[in-house]
Amino acid sequence: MIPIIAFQERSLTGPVMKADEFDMGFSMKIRELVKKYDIKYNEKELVVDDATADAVYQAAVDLLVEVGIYHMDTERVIKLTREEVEQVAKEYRENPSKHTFGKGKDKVTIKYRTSTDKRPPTLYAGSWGVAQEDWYKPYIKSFVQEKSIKAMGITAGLAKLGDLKAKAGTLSEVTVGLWENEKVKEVLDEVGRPGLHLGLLSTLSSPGGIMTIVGGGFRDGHNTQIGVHIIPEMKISWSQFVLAQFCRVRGVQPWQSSMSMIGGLCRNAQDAAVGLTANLLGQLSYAQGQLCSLFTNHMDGKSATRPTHWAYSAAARASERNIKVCIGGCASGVLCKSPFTLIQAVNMATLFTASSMSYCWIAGNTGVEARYTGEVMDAIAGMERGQANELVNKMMDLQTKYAPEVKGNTCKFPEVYDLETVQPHKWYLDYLDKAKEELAACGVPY
Amino acid sequence: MGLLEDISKAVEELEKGTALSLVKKALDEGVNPPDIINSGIVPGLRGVGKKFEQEEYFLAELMMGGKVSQACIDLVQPYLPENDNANLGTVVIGAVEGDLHDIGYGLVATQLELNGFKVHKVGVNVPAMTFIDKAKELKADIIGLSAFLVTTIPNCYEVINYLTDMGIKDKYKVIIGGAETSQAKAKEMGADGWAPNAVEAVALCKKLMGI
Repeated sequence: MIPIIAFQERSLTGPVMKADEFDMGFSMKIRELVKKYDIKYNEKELVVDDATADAVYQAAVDLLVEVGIYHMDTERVIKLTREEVEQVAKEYRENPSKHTFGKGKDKVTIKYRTSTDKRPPTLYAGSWGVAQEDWYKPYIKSFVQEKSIKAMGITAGLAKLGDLKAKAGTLSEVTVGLWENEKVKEVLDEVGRPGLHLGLLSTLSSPGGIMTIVGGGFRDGHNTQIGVHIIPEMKISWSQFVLAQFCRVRGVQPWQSSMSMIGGLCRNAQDAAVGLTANLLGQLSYAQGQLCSLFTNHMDGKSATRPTHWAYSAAARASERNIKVCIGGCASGVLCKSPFTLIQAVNMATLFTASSMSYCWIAGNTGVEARYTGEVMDAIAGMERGQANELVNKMMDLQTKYAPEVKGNTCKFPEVYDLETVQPHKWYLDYLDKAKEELAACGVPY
Repeated sequence: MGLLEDISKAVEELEKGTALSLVKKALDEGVNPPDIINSGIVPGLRGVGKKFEQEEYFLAELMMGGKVSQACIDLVQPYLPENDNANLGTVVIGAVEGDLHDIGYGLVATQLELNGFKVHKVGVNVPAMTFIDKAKELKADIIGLSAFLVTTIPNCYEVINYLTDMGIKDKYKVIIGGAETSQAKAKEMGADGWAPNAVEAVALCKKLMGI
């Protein structure tokens, strides 16, 4: 284990470099490593095999050791030795991750999973994006009233409270954060789940704002997480280190999330998988958390394509076999007047379940899709790789079939739910039923 | 193939050494310096942009294309007639205070450079006044503000509010971009434009410069 204070010295004495130069070095090295380890993308094999996962892991170790982590404040590169990186992975591997969140009857333990584990991923869900005051509570309630949802990843944030704009690092950020926290608590009390894990603070993004709410006791170790992640690609600032240190002092499980973008410094799925895994190892070295969410998308924002699926699976399985941390994924749907809304979320959740993820975060949809998606995860957990691949491929075709219906048909939560009863409208359920019919025809065990 | 076409090809293929020696050769042979830029380097840059759009090139190649072309232009610059340069406009661009995401704005900056704009990147987590000071120092035409988070969008408003309160808003065109931004938000805050991606950001800047 590397003491976090060691990162102080390295941040101040590492090689001096401009960000552009680091980016170029990162991009070229990742290509070289993908070639060296002969990592091949197969668009039909979206749940990747063991050998590919191991190659991705080895390439990621090399990448982290050879490129390092770029400190944006000091414009220096934080270097880690091969022995240090391998030791970090070994310590995790010998003690597979688990962590208990929540309180009382709302306690939930997230545990390391393998890809064929019959125990399904823990269902995370929660409101997402930007909400408005008048539908803030019903949006959250749509999720927490679903008993199969065991924790929330985050709740939607408010851009404005009345006329007050939430501005990072200022009084308004904290004011909005306090309001949101109070409303979330009201919803939890109303549905009788006061001990539920709430995940990340939503609108709050600055260290000062986060520390005010968490340090002030409005959130606690059992129900909150704080983002300490390396941002893409392999960049960090003092904020992440200070927040990681704060998590330890306050007994909060750090929110680690690893992200690589396809089409940017990473060309393709193979590069992104290696980038995701190197980023994960980098975070484990200083934050020492038990969970890490993976995120990958193309430059146009798409996050549920064949290349992103492959990258998610390769990075998750690289961790499954070589690190054994609890990996999570965000199965994001697009709220729209089309069966697509559920098809994409179920497709991603199926891939995540078959790729060893320990938790699956349903975001971008509503409570009802989260419930339906959770049912699928329960049913397919333990499925062997070949069968899972066949299923995911069929769902990918189905997703392609319905994708043209999304444009011009996206909607917001208040359109699809009755805000008084907090139940979905019948016309919306009809779209979901149609999606379930289509998914069942693909072989999804509904 | 002529010398100018060779320069174009070398730039497009990111062969810096070859491109530089071809530019030197062209200068030695008395080729009109503006032609070296307009018919050699710039078409090569367009080729880089085209390959990026076709997913043959990626962000690293775009960045490399910018570096190769800048090195070539630096060689030609001393031979250009006064007031004759390839600059379509000067852009100061960065991520506003509180925002650490650099890929999106970096891509916009590179695309603008490839299309003939002089771009100065001010980095991430940049205070409002730094954008303004840099724009004043460089006599910039455009200020580009990137905000990835809902809580950092108000910092785009802040730059515009300062410009307005300092009485210099009409000296600069302000554009915004980033995950949670939109045309509606740009209009609301008094920005001169918004673009959803790097390619459209180039079109927007050209439009704002009257090109």
